[in-house]
Amino acid sequence: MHIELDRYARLKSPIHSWDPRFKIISLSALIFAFSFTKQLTLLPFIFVISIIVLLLSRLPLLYIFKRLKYIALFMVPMVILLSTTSGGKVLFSLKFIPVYAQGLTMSLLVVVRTFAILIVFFVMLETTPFNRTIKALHAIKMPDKLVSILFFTYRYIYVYLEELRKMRIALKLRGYKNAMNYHSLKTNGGIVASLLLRSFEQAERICSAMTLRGYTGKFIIRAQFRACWQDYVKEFAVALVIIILLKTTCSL
Amino acid sequence: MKNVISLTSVDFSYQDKPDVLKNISFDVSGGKSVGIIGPNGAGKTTLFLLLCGILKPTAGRIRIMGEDVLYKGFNPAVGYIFQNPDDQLFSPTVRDDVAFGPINMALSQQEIDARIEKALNISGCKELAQRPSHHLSGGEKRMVAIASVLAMEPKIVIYDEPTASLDMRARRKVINLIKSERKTNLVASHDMEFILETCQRVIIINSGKIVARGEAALIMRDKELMENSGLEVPYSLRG
Ligand SMILES: Nc1ncnc2c1ncn2[C@@H]1O[C@H](COP(=O)(O)OP(=O)(O)OP(=O)(O)O)[C@@H](O)[C@H]1O
Ligand SMILES: [Mg+2]
Repeated sequence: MHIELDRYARLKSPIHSWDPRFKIISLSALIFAFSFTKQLTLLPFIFVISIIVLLLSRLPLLYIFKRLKYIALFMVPMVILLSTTSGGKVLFSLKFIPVYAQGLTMSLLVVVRTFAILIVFFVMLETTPFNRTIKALHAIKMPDKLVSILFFTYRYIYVYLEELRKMRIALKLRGYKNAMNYHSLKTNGGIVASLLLRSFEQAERICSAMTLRGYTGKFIIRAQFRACWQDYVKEFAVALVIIILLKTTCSL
Repeated sequence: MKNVISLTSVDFSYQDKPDVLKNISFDVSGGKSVGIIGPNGAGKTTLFLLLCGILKPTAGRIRIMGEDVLYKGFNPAVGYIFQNPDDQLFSPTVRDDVAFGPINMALSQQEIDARIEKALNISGCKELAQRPSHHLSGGEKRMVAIASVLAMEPKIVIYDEPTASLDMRARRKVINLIKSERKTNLVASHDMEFILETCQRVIIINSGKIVARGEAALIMRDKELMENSGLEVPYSLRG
């Protein structure tokens, strides 16, 4: 198991080539605009927009849909609950269970909006190598502390996952199999404990390594971003969509 | 020449392990390379951590270029290359990692770029510059760790087992690098031939005490002394 954070971050597409600063600002704004829509009539529109963004990014559709699958599973109970309990006019009944029109509209709204938002969000994250995203966040004036935390999380998540992977291999090589018994519980508890301890001690050593190289608590990130006219055009296009969305939302 | 490193009666104990180092005193003069040898657990790494200010001696005094080592502070004169490169590399890309020290030293952008180039070149990591450091092989990580310390141009470089996990070619590269850099080096290694090639002097540490010191070839030829310290006489010195 190797987690691949930047698996598709180096493809070639109009979204990939977009300056990450502009990308983050524009797409976050788009996500906000999506979350404000309240009309059913706008749903097809935001859905189509999110699909267009996805297609433009050339990310493998299957990969994105796989990630959405889990969220879909999570949403099923919510849809059922909403449409069978939320008042208003009864649309029809399944056996004895009433299905309410208002509940159904509400769930439809939530479902489509969530998927549209997530699709755009995934596109935003997956089309830039994560370390560029961090630098871009810094460049658009995200607080230093937050950027540092993200930065370290990014770097060390690999170390710990690798550590975990090695421990699991070591277990397997000595004939261990996961089961529901005391031995298994004890082993897994031990793994978690030693992972925590190791992380803690390693964190101390890393801290030393950074001090040795002059770190005093403030990250100095030098990123090289240069926007070109295409970046502005793309931003303008997204801004247009947002304006249309908000305008329709407010006027209806 | 003046002493750049000077230890006087240094003792050290860990909280749960007393007397890891006992009464350690030695001086190193500028431009010399000194090998620190001894069995596993002798206290080599501990000694290095004291030298660069990560640990504080329980007693005694450590001076670098005539000044006391700043405990838990930034000692730009000393560069330490960790035994485990994963402890040392923390930036997303190799280039970022090499740049980290120079940026913190508040150098000009031009100077920073020049140092990064130089360090990447002499360590042979130029091709790796844009790679994420967590996807490198053990040997590559080691070379990047060396580059990231050399980029700060410290007067003293401490190598803790630099040849562990290196293949013959990379090992040779480290040897040439240590020989060509006119710095003061401290080198700990279990690779006796490597010590013999890179160091003029050696210090043998066993159970936290200095048991011998002197000219490398002379000390390392002494079979009884070496074996009593859990070491072997290198092949090239066997008669
Ligand atoms: N953080 C620590 N806490 C407690 N004891 C420690 C710690 N680190 C090392 N020791 C102990 O101190 C002694 C010296 O360890 P040190 O790492 O300095 O040895 P070394 O000479 O570098 O060995 P090696 O050749 O295996 O790297 C060992 O007995 C070790 O168990
Ligand atoms: Mg050691």
